[in-house]
Amino acid sequence: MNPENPRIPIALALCCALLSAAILAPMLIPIAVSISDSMFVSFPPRGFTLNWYAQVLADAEFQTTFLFSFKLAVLVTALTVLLGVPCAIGLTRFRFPGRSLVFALILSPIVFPVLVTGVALLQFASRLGSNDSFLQILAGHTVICLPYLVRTVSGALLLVVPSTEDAARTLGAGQFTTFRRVTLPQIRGGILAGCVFAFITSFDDYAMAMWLADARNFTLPLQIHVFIERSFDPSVAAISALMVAFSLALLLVVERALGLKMQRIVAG
Amino acid sequence: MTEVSAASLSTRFAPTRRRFIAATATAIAAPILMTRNSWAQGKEIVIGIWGGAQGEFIRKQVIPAFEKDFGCKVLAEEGFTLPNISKMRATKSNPKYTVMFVDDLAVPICKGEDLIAPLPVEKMPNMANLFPRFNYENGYSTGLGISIGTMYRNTSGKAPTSFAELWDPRYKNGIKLNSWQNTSGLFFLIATAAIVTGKPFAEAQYEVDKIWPKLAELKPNIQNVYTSGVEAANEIAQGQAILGGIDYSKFIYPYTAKGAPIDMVFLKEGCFAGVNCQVLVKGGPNQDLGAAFMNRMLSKQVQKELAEFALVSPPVSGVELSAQAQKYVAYPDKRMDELSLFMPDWTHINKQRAAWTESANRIFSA
Repeated sequence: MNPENPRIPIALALCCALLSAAILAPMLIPIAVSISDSMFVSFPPRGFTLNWYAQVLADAEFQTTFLFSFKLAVLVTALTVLLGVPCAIGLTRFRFPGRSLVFALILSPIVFPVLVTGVALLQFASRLGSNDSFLQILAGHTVICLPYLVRTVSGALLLVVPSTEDAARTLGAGQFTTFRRVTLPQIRGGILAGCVFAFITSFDDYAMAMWLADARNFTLPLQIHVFIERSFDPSVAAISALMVAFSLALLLVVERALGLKMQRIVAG
Repeated sequence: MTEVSAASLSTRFAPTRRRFIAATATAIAAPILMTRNSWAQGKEIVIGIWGGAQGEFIRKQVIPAFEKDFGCKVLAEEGFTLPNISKMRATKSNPKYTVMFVDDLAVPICKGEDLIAPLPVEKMPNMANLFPRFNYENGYSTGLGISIGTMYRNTSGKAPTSFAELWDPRYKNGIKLNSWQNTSGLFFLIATAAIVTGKPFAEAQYEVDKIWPKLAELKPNIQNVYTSGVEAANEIAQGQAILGGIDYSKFIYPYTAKGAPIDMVFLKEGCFAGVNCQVLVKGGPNQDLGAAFMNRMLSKQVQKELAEFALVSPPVSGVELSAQAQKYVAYPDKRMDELSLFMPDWTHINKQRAAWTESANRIFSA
């Protein structure tokens, strides 16, 4: 056996294949349904057509909500990085009273149902006298995306070799220079993984947006629900397939553009 | 050049008696038309509406025309009754919404929690045409569109004639039952009470506690308990089950109208009325504009177009429906009576709903 490339046991490979199939199969169904030449959502698909995609892509409401969700996800991701990286550094590198409590609070949106967090935020904003839906949804998405980035960056920070930072400081580098030139390259994978999670979480969110969105700030998942309510035909499956493709494309672009291997992103 | 201009001017200003009267009338009327709704210029309201065909019609047809007539902005958010109530509760201290569309069951809840205001009848002249049965809680809400709630079927099989037939073994694993989590799903519990007690819906709704053994007997015939009406209708149209419901005609008839093999089933015990209503949020911004919008929703023209687009019955008298729409809606009130369109006592049902849900869940999750 080559120690560099150990052979995977057949049972493990089979297990992985089954697990992958269980995860991917539900995503393949909307893709199959979206090419069905039928007025109904039917599986297996009947006939073949790409008309549902043409119909969806030409729809003004789809275009508007897609662009809004995209811009929102970009802003949320940027805000999450700005807040999450310092937060992860603080929680990982410093010991202070209530550290565990702060960590638990930041991770709590993963534990609580998003629906509950959403209605609580709406009530909170109302008591503050705010009717600015965009700010509310931006804050809401940041709250639910922050835990992912803090987790991945904290994990990456724990793997940073402390001696490299000490060496830089010994050689005269300031705190910021040490962070920028020594620490940052080592936690880049964690930040990127957090960005991907944050972007996709914001882009796919329905539960939070249901409470906080308004007619001017309407997200794509909400619009998909509107389409389903209006007519449950394969155009809904076409939108779902486009969203899956978009998320996959995003992962591939991140991997290719930044020269990272997928397993490094996942591992942080 | 000069001659042409002169001729043109001469023609433009040639005063005849008819032109003079028309010009005078226009001069008098124009400021009135321009100022009639000037109070609403630049104002904005947020309203909560439904999804589906009704939502699409309101967003694309009603709102643009209203905005043009009043020079205002109407922001519409599509949603459902229970989340809409939650939104009103969450924003009670600083109301964001002015008008909210909810199902009839929610009106007593909203009134009880002081979330809604009485309708300003003097600012809503179209309420004069409202059938009295669709005036809720003595002027706190009006109906907007009525759907028929009953079972529906794939038309390839024979239609049952009574709710009692649903227990027949020929429907084994062939019925998709609407969940009691949905308002329309509660109707089936009342229908079962009617079968068990032999009483009409109006009396049977108070005896639902007697149905649980009978409901348990139906279990072999139930393929699944669904929460999404559009999905279930889609599956029954494809023949994946024989019957579905109880659900609203507004989910089923759009498929029927497109030629799908699916239709509502009118059973001898009668049907239920699913009434979509409108309420004025207490303390919401620009209440006058909200009242004007609600008044517009009750106009004969809007009601005709809404009924023909979304296949729901108007709650106001005097609407002339197309022959095509008339096939699918229960209108006017005489036709509603012929179909025994039953409107439950929501004040009673809302109090019992949690207990009913728990009992029904116990049967179908076992």
